[in-house]
Amino acid sequence: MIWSRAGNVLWRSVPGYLVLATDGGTPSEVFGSGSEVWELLQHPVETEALVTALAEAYSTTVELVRPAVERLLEQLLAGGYVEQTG
Amino acid sequence: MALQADEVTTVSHLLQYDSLSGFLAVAAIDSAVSIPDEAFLAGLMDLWHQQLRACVILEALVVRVATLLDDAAVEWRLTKGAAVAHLDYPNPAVRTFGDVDLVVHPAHWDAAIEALLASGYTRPARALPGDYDDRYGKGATFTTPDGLEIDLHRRFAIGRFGVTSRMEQVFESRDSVVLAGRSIPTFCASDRLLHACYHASLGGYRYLRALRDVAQLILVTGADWADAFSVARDWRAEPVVASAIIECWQRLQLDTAHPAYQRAIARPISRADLRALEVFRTERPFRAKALTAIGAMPVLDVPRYLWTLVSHRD
Repeated sequence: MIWSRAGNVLWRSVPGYLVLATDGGTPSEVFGSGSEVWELLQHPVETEALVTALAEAYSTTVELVRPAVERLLEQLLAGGYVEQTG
Repeated sequence: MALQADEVTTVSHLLQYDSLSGFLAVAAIDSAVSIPDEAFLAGLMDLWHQQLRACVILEALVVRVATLLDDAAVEWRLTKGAAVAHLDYPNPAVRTFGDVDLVVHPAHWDAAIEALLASGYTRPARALPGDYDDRYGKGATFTTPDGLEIDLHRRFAIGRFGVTSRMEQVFESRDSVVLAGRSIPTFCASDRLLHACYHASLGGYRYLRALRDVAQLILVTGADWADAFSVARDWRAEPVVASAIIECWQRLQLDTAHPAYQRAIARPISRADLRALEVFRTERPFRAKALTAIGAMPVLDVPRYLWTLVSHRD
């Protein structure tokens, strides 16, 4: 599965905090490592690559990181902030 | 550098009312400033997040208004906070803002107002009689049904340095930012600097952030400050640019050898211009600011202008 940012998103991403909106929607806030995931989504990226990058960044295992990353991606997809292909 | 305990109250006030949270938060993250008070640091981060949330809400509003104005064939520019945050700062999260400012081409002013009113935006403050807006006014504030504000500018200022402006000039070139996939027109860098100088010298609530924008545009963006002076000279508003640069350099303690500062101090400012600048600097009421225009407008316009002001209450 390849993920990328949707084209109609407004956002601010800073360490520990991410806020996103579309032009008509209520903003969504993500605390924690969401901003790092968002930075990695700057270019289309596979789920596994995201999981691996996050695991490396936090010096932990992919097994520990994967559920949180997948949950976040589903939330971002539901909000219309990302697109998935493949 | 460490934030001292006796500075917390003053700094808290500035963070709240001058939207400076991004500057201090980034300085803390980069370890340029040490904040020993953990409660203050947590509050700073909370405030920054609130202000960032407000920014995306306002940018969503910009995109909706862009659709309205573009559909009405109105020529306009996004200006001030939302524009400089994206174009002049390395990360827009550093430069937060609390409202939306748009400048409308003089020929399209009425069409812009009609487009906003027809779409449910309201203009809470009564317009001054006749064609005041068009001939002398700074602009109009509109509110959305959910309480957000859009400042629609016809000029950069009221008064002495506003009535002499020829706003068509700043529409001769443009830059742009992309918001939510839509290209949003902005001024070119030197015209952004010109507007930043107007705000720093004549705007309301002009604290450190306004001066930082002037410094950022000149020192980081590399805006052509000579061009800003040139347009200001055409508008008989050189003192506005000069005083903004002088105050900026002095308060932010920048290197006074910079040619922009040297150019600013080389230009003598007349007593009449100094008096007008002082009216704005001391935040006098609307009418006092508007009256500074008297010496700068055609004599035949003065009676009607005075009558309009007399019939308006602050």
